[in-house]
Amino acid sequence: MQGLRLALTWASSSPLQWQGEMALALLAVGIFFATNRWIWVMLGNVKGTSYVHSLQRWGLQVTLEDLPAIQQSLWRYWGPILFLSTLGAASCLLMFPLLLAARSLLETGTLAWLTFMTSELWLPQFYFATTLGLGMGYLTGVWWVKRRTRRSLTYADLEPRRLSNYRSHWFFWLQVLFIALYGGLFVQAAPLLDTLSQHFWLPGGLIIALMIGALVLGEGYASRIASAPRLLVAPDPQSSRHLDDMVRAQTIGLVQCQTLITITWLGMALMLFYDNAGGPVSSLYDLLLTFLVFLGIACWAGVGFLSGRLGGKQTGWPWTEGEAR
Amino acid sequence: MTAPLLLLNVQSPVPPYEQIRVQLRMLITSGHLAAGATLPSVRQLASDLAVAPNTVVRAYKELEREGWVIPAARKGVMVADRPPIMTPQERRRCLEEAVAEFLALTRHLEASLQEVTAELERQWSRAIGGGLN
Repeated sequence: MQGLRLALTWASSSPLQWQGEMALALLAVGIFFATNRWIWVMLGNVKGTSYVHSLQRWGLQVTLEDLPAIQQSLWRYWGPILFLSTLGAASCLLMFPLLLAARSLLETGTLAWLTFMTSELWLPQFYFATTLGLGMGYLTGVWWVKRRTRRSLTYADLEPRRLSNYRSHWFFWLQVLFIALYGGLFVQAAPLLDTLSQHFWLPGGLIIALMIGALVLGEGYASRIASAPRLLVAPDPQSSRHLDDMVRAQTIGLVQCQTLITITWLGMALMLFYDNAGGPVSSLYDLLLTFLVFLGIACWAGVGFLSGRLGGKQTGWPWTEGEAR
Repeated sequence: MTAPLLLLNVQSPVPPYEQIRVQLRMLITSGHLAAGATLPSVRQLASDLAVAPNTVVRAYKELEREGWVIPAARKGVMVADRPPIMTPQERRRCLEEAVAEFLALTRHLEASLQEVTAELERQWSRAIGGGLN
């Protein structure tokens, strides 16, 4: 907790330097996460055997001979989506401070407005900019790929595709648990804190409502991805389906990560309210909230590490290879 | 067992609803779609195959009329508990239709009989090895 406070103090002391570094770091991280699978596909040429093994873990009956065709399919259908998503995120990320600077220059003749991007505010600003950019870029990419890949031969599953095929229900309940814990702490502490810091109910309640909103949005989006039409149409429909399942599960994993990040960041915002309220009650709640925040970060990192294999009926867990169909 | 797939060729002279109907019927007969199995929703099947929802509705209606599937409350469409038995004549007709459709496509590619046979054998052995239905 002390470390977090020191970090925030340091951040506030050199806002412009901090923002620049954070912008570059976030951009680099965003590009890395968005393109790592793309790079992985490209590197598959170099490390063909391990790449084939990875694909086989996803149920693809492939040999080294099939690899170039599979890589070409991934490159052709998934590449543009990744590229446009990354481009969208990077554009929005850069656009935000630029728009703020432009408006500040126009209205005040100085860059004073950039101080809005200090300390606590940079996180939501950058987060929403990248989320918006990723979403817009992704939708544009899907539209472009669908438009380009109208083929004479199409295929379909003969069983309903549901979110539970790609992700265990446990992840849903994990998020509900997080929100319930945050909500419980808030309801317990709000009457006490409200006397110290005026109008605590409104912003605190809003944060809890935003957490529920993020959960509903994340679940809805993940369900939509699970039921979305098959995108990859490789020459062999079976391989195409496995590739599609792999990409679909990994995208659902990313959405799961994003939802966990949102809930964790909103929890951090709640923590800042407790910090600002002060008083004897805040330390214990602060500690509990910090624990929850770190737990959230751990879960988010864990979900990212699983790379889409979140215990669904089809995709299984990473340590039970046989479950991947 | 790998879940079965439904293929649709929009360039085929056979109408899309008929392709869907014939393939579903064959999959039920062969046991790849067990009695009581839930079929995908009209929306999912239509979007996967890039056809209008009415095409899928028509195929499902035809199958329902023939007794192959039954509508299930809140579950969409299910394979009937006792689907009609396909007679040898019907089976032969289905096979003829499938081969005719396949040949119509290969004619577009101007493929020779040797090429078609070689590719068929390659994919057949691969499908058996990979559990393709």
